[in-house]
Amino acid sequence: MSYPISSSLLDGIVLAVVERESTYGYRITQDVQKVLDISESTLYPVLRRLMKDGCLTTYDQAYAGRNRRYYQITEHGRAALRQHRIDWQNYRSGIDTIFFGGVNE
Amino acid sequence: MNRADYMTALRRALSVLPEEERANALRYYEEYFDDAGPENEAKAIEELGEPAKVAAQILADYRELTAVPHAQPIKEKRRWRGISPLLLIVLVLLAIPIGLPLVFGAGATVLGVLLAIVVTVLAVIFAVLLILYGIPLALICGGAVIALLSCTLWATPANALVTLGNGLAAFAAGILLGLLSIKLSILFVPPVFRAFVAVLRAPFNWIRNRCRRTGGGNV
Repeated sequence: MSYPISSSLLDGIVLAVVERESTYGYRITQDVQKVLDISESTLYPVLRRLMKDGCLTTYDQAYAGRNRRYYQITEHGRAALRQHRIDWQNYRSGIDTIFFGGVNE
Repeated sequence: MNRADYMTALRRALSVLPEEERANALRYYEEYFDDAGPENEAKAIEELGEPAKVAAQILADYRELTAVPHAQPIKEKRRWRGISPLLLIVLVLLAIPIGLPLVFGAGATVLGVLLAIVVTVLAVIFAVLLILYGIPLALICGGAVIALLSCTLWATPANALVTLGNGLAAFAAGILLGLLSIKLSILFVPPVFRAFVAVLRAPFNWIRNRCRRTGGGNV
């Protein structure tokens, strides 16, 4: 069963991936795809939104005779990611309580 | 579908975007294909999904990002008609050192001229009144006196009678002319009076109209 991923969760996921290592669009998609089925949504709008919010910046790097656009996280992006992690933990423990009863503090 | 077809379809679907937005989006997908590598082209297309769907998501996201917040209606600043009073006060204050002596000098001249005009007008009115009423009055009085004095001529009855006749005639003529003058006055004095008042009011109306014209038409 696949659960639809909200756009804000997707933001958090992309930020987490970029925080680990500044990388390029195709790589981000592949990393996320390893754990999540996101064929329903393309990542370009997510990246663009994060850039507009100041959570990500881009830089170009030459690779194999062309320019490749890399994405990297900003301080603002790190702060947003911290919030995303907290939100996710709250959300997850709520669902866990309903599914499995009792939450380990 | 191959990469070229995919990109063409995508480009067309994104044509509504502004130039820069579209270029950025298309670049992302070109790079995506580049990084996937030609061997993964088909897989990449499958992963991306239909170009129409991809474009729809990009457009929706763009619209959301560029939604203009409800613009504050600019409160129409109340236009001040005519000269701003503050400006007027400032001008008056500034004008006093230079203006006052000037005003006195000019004022004296103006007053003198006005006085002359008023006196002339009064003289004219006096003359007219004199003619209108003086003559009949003179005739009446003179006629009456002559008629009365004719008694002293009783010694020469013919003379006395003639003099009495003349006096009475003058008297009658005076009365007639007097009546005529009164009639003329009733006819002419009100309009003349109104004209006189209008002439006096003219300068003030002129000033008011000038202000209305320059203040009423807002720049």
